[in-house]
Amino acid sequence: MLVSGGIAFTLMARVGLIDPKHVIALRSIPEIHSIHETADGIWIGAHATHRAVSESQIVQTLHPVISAAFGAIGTIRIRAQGTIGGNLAYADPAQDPPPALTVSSATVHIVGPSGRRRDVPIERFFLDYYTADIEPDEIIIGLSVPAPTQPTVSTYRRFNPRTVDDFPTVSVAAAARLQPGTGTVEDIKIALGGVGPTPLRARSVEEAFVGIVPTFDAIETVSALVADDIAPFDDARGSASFKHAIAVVWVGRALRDLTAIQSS
Amino acid sequence: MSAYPIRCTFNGIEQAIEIDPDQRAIDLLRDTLHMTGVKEGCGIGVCGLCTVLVDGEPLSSCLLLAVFLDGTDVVTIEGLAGTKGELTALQEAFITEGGFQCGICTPGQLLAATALLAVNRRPTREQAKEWMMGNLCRCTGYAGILDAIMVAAEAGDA
Amino acid sequence: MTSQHRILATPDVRVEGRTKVTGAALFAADFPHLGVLEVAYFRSPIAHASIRAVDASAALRMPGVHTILTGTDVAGHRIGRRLQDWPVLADDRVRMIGDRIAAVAADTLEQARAAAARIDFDYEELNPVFDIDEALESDAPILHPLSETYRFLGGERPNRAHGNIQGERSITHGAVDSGFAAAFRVFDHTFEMPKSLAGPLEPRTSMAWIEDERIRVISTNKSPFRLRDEMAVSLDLDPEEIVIINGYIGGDFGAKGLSIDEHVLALMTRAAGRPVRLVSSWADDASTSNCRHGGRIRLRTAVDADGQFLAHEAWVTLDGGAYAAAKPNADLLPAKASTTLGGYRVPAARVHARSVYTNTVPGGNARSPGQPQTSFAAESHVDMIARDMGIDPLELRQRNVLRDGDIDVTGHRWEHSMLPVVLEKLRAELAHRPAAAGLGRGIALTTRGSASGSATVRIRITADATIEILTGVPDQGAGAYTMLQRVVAEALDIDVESVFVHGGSTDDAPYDRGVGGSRVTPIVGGAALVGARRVKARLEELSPGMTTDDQIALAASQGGFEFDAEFNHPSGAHTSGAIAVDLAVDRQTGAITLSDIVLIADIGGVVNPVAVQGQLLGGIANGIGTALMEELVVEQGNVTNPNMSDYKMPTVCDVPDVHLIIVSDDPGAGPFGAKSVGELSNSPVAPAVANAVEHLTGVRVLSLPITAEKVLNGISGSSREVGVVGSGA
Repeated sequence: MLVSGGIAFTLMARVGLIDPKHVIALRSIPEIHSIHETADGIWIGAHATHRAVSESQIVQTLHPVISAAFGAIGTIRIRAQGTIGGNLAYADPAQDPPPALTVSSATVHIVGPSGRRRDVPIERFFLDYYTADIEPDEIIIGLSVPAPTQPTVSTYRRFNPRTVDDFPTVSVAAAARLQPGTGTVEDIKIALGGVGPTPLRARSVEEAFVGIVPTFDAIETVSALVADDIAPFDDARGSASFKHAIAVVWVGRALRDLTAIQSS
Repeated sequence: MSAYPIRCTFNGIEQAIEIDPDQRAIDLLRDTLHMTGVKEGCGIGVCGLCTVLVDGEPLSSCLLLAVFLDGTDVVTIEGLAGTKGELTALQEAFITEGGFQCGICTPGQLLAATALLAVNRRPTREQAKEWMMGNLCRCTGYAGILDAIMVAAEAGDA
Repeated sequence: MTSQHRILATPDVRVEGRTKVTGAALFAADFPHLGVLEVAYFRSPIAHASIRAVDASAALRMPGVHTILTGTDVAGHRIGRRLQDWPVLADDRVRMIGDRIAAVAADTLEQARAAAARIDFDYEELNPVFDIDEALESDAPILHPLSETYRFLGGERPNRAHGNIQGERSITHGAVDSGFAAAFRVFDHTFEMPKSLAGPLEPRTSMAWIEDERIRVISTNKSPFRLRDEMAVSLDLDPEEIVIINGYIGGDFGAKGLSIDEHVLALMTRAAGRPVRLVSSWADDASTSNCRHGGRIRLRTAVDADGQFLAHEAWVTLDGGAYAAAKPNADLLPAKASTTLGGYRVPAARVHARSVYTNTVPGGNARSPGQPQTSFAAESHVDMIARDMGIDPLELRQRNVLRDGDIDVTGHRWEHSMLPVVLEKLRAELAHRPAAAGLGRGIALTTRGSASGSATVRIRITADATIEILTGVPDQGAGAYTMLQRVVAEALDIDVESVFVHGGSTDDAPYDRGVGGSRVTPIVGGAALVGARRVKARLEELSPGMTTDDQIALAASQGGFEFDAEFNHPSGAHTSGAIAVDLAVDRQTGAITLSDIVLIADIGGVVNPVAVQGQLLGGIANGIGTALMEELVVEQGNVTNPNMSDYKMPTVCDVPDVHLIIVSDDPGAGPFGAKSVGELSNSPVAPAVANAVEHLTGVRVLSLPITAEKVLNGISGSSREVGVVGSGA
């Protein structure tokens, strides 16, 4: 069994959910720690901690939505120990990073036996609750994130009404390119967490939002369309209908974040 | 259980020890090294009772495999006070400002606060709150803990 | 504080401060345990079943296993603080998921757990009951059909109307029916609250071994003498054959008055012939020890045209879970379960409260037992009456609040009430603190009887010319030892550095009832004051006219002296409080953000100013948890959130600024006028939050916790009242 930060591993081993004969810690592989610029954008090594990702100057500059999502995770201790690779492999649909990585068009890079390499777009990486497109004999070595076509604005919002130290009930990441003169939406990606078995793109909202000049009323109208894109279920953080209601409000606020940023 | 050798510095003393690769850091610290100042609360990394500093970074020792301590500098509550028992400004402030009651969360609170003042010598109360968010206390209502951090920051050397 | 209170005027410095901030403080799990066998349970996977057979033969052959005990080995041993209905290990049936069926002692915890997993359990399912209404149906399965065979400590167990009722309490006073007949309006509201946790961060831990033919037990129980006596009864031993030792206790909040594991370990150490230890997990404590009762409270109040209360009826039904063992009251109800309109003049009332068996987590005592539930109901009910009648909520309270000579809801006449003073202080404070724009403000009042009863401490002048106090009270964090030190130093007018406090075991300290009911400062502190005054009197006899320090030195040189000092604290004192909570509500999501809190606290004389503040603020944080986020989710008898990731408790970011005003004008009989403090401030927070939410949004949340989802349902749905389905007693 492969171990990255070790959080999920230690939790599951402690309650007997796993009992591996051999454990390989990946931390001694130097290449997977690095966060650096590439010709096309950013490389984030799989063993980069949440904290390293959120505090990286490169990430903050090119993809502030990723920085924000990683900075929102848990507590200082979790951010210092947990890694992006571990987070991806765990595939918990309530986690913060996946929606931000989705709207940033990240690609997951995986290496298998004999160096066989697979590159999986993030949107095809999460398959179901706690299920990702990775085999037991494969290692995630990192993610590549293309530099966004500027000017891009982005936002990350999480809704956790009980207490700040909680997984988000619903989260929204959004990135858009607005035409400098008219403010017309040239491109928009919206992804939500906590509303289905994997992070979900709000394509109905995107399709309705692209090509228009955003107004308050237009945002109200398109936000409601997210209902068609999500499939939340009842759990401790709320009923499915509650999450539907929150998703609409949160998408609306995310879209207003984007347009307000642009107009300032 | 095969013995696995690691080498780390515990509270300033370098040690070569053999561990069980299944061991959590908290078990190594409490049971093997008898550092009972490291407390176990929730066992799942939420409450902060088991906080230790690893290369200056606060981590949950209940979530850390002991083997991951290899090559690191570990500080527990037992390592905060000076060699002659001189309390740090934070420890003094916890006493004067009501920063503890039952004391079970206190080692974790002190280590997290020590790490805070190492990266931010004069935090605002808001910054202190955000940093300390992951250290639960069921007794104090937190005001005494925050007061202690602000007083210690003012005093200058945590 | 006047110049007479030289020491009390200075901040308290904890005697155990250095010990706690250096990590040197030993809690129960920190005691050396080399070579001690570790114990793990085999627990029931099913909520209600009769046991056919428990086969531990395979488990016994597992590596490292020394001894296994099952219900057959310990048949007849049942535990409880009053009603001993909880078998040490399940005998003829299991009554909750997680019920302890067998205990395995092995060299390591992993080995004990691995062996426990190999125990074979053959059972026949019984129909379970999971809610209080089902449990009371005429054909409901009875959880304890043989309850007449159970020991009931301290007298006869009262009769109950249904086999699944643990206990009942009825209070009637005044002319209730004519009060309702004369009503201008009658208000009838029903409230619900979930099970929740006292939630100390330290899991329970115990260790037992035999030394000099006595069973020695290290325990996290905060009433060690009572545990000793309970163990003596359940094990059929003399109390002197058992010794209970405490380390520092990592929080109690009521939960650690009940012990189960200590009884198992006592039997195990005898059977194994080795010392044994059990460190519980927070998850096991959350799901299989005891919790704050959930339940339903219906209030019905008749008022006149001015909103004055004429008569009141209440039905309180609490979910007592699988066992009543955790409750020390004869009626097996939390003490305040029947104080359904506390703090008000109620000329006539009929209150019926009962606790009910269900196949779920047992109910026990949790900070201010019964009061978070009754206060949520009553202070919401009062506000709802005020709003409906168009009367300002604070004004309505002032019209009805208990004044000197008034009778309260339980029929008790109050000689003196500080409630009008406290309410007026709140009004005055709020008058110059208007709520910020966009915020809602809610208020609530609270009152609690100050503890009564007796305590004994041993006080000694040592050969070193110091004063030593020996007490049987353990330290669970509230500052008892510092309080005792300061009381004695103040009374003798000497420096605190000359006074030492020892918390002894049940073997060396005088008997003490333990922590609970906020009794320690008024009662144990009172005993210390009695002791200090007797010391002074004795010193005056021995060497009149000298300074106290010289008198002590002289007495020390002659060998010193010691004696036991007892104090009997009379009943009848009250504490009171009033709270205001300002908050914002996000109308699109229902999310609540607390902004400011004001608390007026009438708590008598202050002995430990820092600790008093800590207790009041800590109580408010606890109340915030109850109000906004704490809920044990039990589905078909299964606790689905027995961990801190899913059962949320407040972090530092969840507690807003609190403005505290302490009122000491009404001293109690405790040392230097001290009254009880620790359980005053948690109960009124939740109703104040509910009242603020209604003030701001018009939505009335009738159940705890007050979640964003409930608030949003009220804002966007067809009903302004949310959180309770249907109604009824």
